Amino acid sequence: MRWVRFAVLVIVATILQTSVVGIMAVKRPDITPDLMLILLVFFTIHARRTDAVITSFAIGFAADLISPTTGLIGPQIISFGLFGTLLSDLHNVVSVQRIPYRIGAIFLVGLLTSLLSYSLTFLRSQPIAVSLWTEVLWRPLYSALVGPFLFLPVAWWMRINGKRRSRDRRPSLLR
Amino acid sequence: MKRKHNNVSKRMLFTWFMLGGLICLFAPPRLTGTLQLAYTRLFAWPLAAGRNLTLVHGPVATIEPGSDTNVRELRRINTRLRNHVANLQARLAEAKEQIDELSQWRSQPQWRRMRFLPAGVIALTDQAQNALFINRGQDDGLVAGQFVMGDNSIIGTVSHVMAHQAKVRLITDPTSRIPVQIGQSDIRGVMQGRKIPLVQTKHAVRAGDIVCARTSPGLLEAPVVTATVSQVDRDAENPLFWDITVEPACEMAGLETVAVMVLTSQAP
Repeated sequence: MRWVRFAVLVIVATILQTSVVGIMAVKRPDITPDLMLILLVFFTIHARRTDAVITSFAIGFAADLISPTTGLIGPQIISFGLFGTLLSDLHNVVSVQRIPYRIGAIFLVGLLTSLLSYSLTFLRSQPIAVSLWTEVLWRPLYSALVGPFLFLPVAWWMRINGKRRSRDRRPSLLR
Repeated sequence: MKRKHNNVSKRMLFTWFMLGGLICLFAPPRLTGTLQLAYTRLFAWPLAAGRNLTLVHGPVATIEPGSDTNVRELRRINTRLRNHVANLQARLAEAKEQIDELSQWRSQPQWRRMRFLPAGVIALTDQAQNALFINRGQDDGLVAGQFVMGDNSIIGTVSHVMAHQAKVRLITDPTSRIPVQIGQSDIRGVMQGRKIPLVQTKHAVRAGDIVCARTSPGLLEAPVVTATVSQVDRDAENPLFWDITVEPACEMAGLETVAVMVLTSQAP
C-alpha cells in the first residue's frame, strides 16, 4: 500500500469535494457525488484487509473534517470504518469486481453510512445542516452512478492493477 | 524483499480505530472544531480557487419552492435576519448622524457642562408655526423651561411636558418671553415673539445684528444665537424706544430633529 499516494489522494479528494464538486450538482445544490464514499468502496475492494481497515477510518476522518456539521468529528469515522471493514470482509465472500455489483456496493454503503452518521449526529444533539433524504438516498445514488468511472484514475494513481485481490484466508470480523 | 511481519491483528486495529472514533465523537466541539478550522486554514488557497471555479463555471441550481419545508423555514429565517440587519444598519446610520450633530455642540467649551438630548419633531402645531411637538418627554428628563436648539440656534423653550412627548413654544410665538442681548454690546431686552420692545434709542441697533439668548442659571450656561434683527424703527407710540423686529436664525419649517439643552449637575 502506497501510503503517501493515499494521503495525497485523500487530501485532493477533500478539496475537490468541498469546492469543485458543486459543478456536478443536479436539481439541487446539495445533490452531488460523494468522493469520500467512492474512495472508501475502492480501497475496501482493492486493498488488503488490514489496509482496508486503516483506509476506511482515515477516509472517514477526512469526511468529518469537511462535514458541514461544524465542530463534530466522529460520526463518519465510525460509520465509514464500520461499513468499510464489513464490505472488505464481504468482498472475501462475494466479488464486487463487476460494475453492477460496484454500483450496488457504493449505493448500499452510502445509504448505511449516511444513516449511521445521521443518527450519531442526532445523538450528539448537533444541528444537522443537510437534508436526510438527500444524504441517505440521492447522494449515494449519484455516487453509485459516477463511482465506477472514477475507479480507473484512482487505480492508476495508486498503481493498483485493478485485478481482484487474492483471498485472505485469515479470520474476518464476520467469522 | 522480506515483508515486515505485522503483529497487530485486524480485529485489534478495528477496535482501536473504533475507540478513537468514539472518543472524537464525544470530545468537546471546541477541540474538534479546531481541527476543522485548521484544515480550512491549511488549504485555504485551493479551496478558494475551487469555489471560484464553481461560481464561474457551475450551473446555478435553484431549490424549487415548496419542495422541502426545512428550506422554506430557512428562507423565512434568512429573510427575517436580513431585515434585522437592515434595521440595525439604519439605526447605526441614525446614531452616527446624531453623534456628528452632538459633537458639533459639544465642541464649544462653554457647552461642556450641558447635555444635548436629541429629539425628533413629530409635528408643527399650526399654520403659524408657533409651536411643535417632539418625541421626548418626562421619562427622558425634560422639564418646562428648557431651551430647545435647532441648527445650532435656540428655537424655543419646552412649554408642556408629557410622559413621552413635549410641546415646544417657538420663539415666534407672541407669548414667548426670552431674555436676549443684541450684538456685541451689552444691549439687553426681552424677545417677545418677533419683537424686542423697550430698547432705548440711545443704544445703536442696526438691521443684521445678532440676537443671542442670555445666560440663565440652570438653563443656559452661555449665550446662544436665536435670531437676527431684520428691521429697526422708532416706536410710534414712544419715540424714546426702538421698534425692533427680528427673524429666527433657524428655518423652522424644515426641521426634523432638534436638541433639548439639559444642564448636567457635574462641574467640568
